[in-house]
Amino acid sequence: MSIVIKNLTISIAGNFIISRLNLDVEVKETPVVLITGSVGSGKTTLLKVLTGIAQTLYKETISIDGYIKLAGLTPLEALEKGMISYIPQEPYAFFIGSSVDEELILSNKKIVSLYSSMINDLRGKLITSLSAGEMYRLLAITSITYNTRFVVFDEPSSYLDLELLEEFLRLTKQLAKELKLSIIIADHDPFVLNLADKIVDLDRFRDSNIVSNPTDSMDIGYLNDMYKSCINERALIKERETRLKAERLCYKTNDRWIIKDVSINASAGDIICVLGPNGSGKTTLMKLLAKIIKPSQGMLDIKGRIFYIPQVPVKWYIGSSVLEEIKRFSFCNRDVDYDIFARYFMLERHLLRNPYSLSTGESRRLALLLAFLSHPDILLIDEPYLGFDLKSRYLMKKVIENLSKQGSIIVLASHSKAIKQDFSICSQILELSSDK
Amino acid sequence: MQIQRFLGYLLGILAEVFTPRVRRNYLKPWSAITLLMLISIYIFLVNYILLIILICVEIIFMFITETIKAVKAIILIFLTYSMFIATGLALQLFLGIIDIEFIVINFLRVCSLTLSSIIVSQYIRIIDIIIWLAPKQPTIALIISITLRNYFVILQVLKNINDIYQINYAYTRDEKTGLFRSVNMSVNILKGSAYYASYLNIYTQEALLSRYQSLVISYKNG
Repeated sequence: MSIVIKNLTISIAGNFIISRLNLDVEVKETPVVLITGSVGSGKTTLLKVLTGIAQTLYKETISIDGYIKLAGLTPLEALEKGMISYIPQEPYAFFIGSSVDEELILSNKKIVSLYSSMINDLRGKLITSLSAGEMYRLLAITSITYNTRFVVFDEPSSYLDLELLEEFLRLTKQLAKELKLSIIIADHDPFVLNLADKIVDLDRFRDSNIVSNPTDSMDIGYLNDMYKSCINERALIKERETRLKAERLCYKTNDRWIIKDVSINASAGDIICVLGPNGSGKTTLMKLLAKIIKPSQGMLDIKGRIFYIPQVPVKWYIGSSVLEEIKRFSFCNRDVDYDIFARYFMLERHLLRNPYSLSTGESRRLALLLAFLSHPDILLIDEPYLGFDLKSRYLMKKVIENLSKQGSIIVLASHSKAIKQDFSICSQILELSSDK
Repeated sequence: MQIQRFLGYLLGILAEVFTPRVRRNYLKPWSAITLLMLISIYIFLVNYILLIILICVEIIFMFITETIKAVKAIILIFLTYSMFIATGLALQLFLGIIDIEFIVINFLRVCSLTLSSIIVSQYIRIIDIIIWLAPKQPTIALIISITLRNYFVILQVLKNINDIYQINYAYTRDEKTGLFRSVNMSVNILKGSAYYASYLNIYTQEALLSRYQSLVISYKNG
């Protein structure tokens, strides 16, 4: 199977997303092709063009020039022949059935048995009870059929921990020998670079006008001072005694312990890192701390104003534009130049866009900006690096450190060990295991 | 934030009621469609006594099979439709034509239709419908799968948006409470939900397109 792209240029509503991309790979030599690039570089758009989805659903708005052949077929022909398995960035819209077993009915038994080590612990569960990582794992397996020749992943590292991703690619390469599969991955996690046989960096094929300004050209302290100067100081006064205390916290659903005996003791300025593999209960713990769900057992004592950035849904906004959303969360009681805030968070080009049209990384940066404007006593972030490139990770680190210095308690939950390295100042590291 | 809390509670119940369970036995797609058609014809033809009997049978059935979930569903349905009785009565008073029987029989009809749909939806699997329809009518099967997918997912997601917005907006702005602001926020949340619904619809189409195509080809090839 071959993937040939010559002089590919993609533009949406007159804006060039990718200019003159060339790629020529043969599956025998390079079964895993990684498409990388910064947030908003057009990785997802390129995947939608390669899979024929853009040509089917967005004929009117997207302009595609150039030559693309997948195994000698156009993407649309390959899609119609059922040769493409596309695993999207947000897993929850993908499933047809309501339980894991229903989904497996649709899948090929031989393929499912190959991946049995990755799927057996999910059997018997409802789709709604799966964590985002478990969902992504299930859909990666169920999307492959015997017709599949191209398995296309969008941001797998955001949902799968590295061990699982390695295991999945190992098994898929095994299958690739029989079915002659090509695996195309769009991701910006540096760990994924090691798993690829060929790397395509989309930042080399972008219109220079649309590259965002770097965050480090401005000091976050300056941004903070500017914000404080335009607001009513009372709005930012912290609780007299911000605290987050959990003792032997447990959460049980359908006779299954999701969280068992978790204890946290944090005071103002602490950064807590919650680490664990897929399905270990990180999101459930965050929901408990955000008071969305109540613990089955244990004591939870939280004092302070909470801000929660969830993993799913990535987009939870109600404003019709990014600017409207920023204004809603801002405490400024006079007109202020929001461009400066937007520039720092690399959103200056998107102020008038609907938040639902942003990419995952852009949407998460907006959530981070709203958290910055809200100055919460407790900031909970589920999978902080979801959809983030290195530049965005640096931004996240700066914002978190700034809020921590001002006395906010920060809780970060992630499957990525990069968190542990990046936030060496974590005052408490909580490791959750999937085996309760 | 009372209105938002109530909205969150309502969305929570709806999400719970409309989430299917894993069962041993399911209805075949054609038998589910036939059953729903027969029930609908029955509901629109019979008088109120037979309608009350049907509702009683449905409630007993739900209590036996669903317990707590059923109690919530029944209370919710009757409370919601009671508002329609009040609206209908007010409209009739305004027009000067009072027909209590008309209002009551229609109230019973919508209640029994909703209860029947909830019961049947608990005993069907989208997968069976897709497998049944895909080889015959691929486009219709795709539309059904997207519609049912959205139907099951959307309430859950709307509840999430409401929960998250309430935490992030209300919890960080203690002073901005009160009925007027709550109403304003609830309207905005509904507006945001509409954005989300459109986004979800497009996204589901994208997500299912390649998978569905592979499935149809697989089934055609046996």
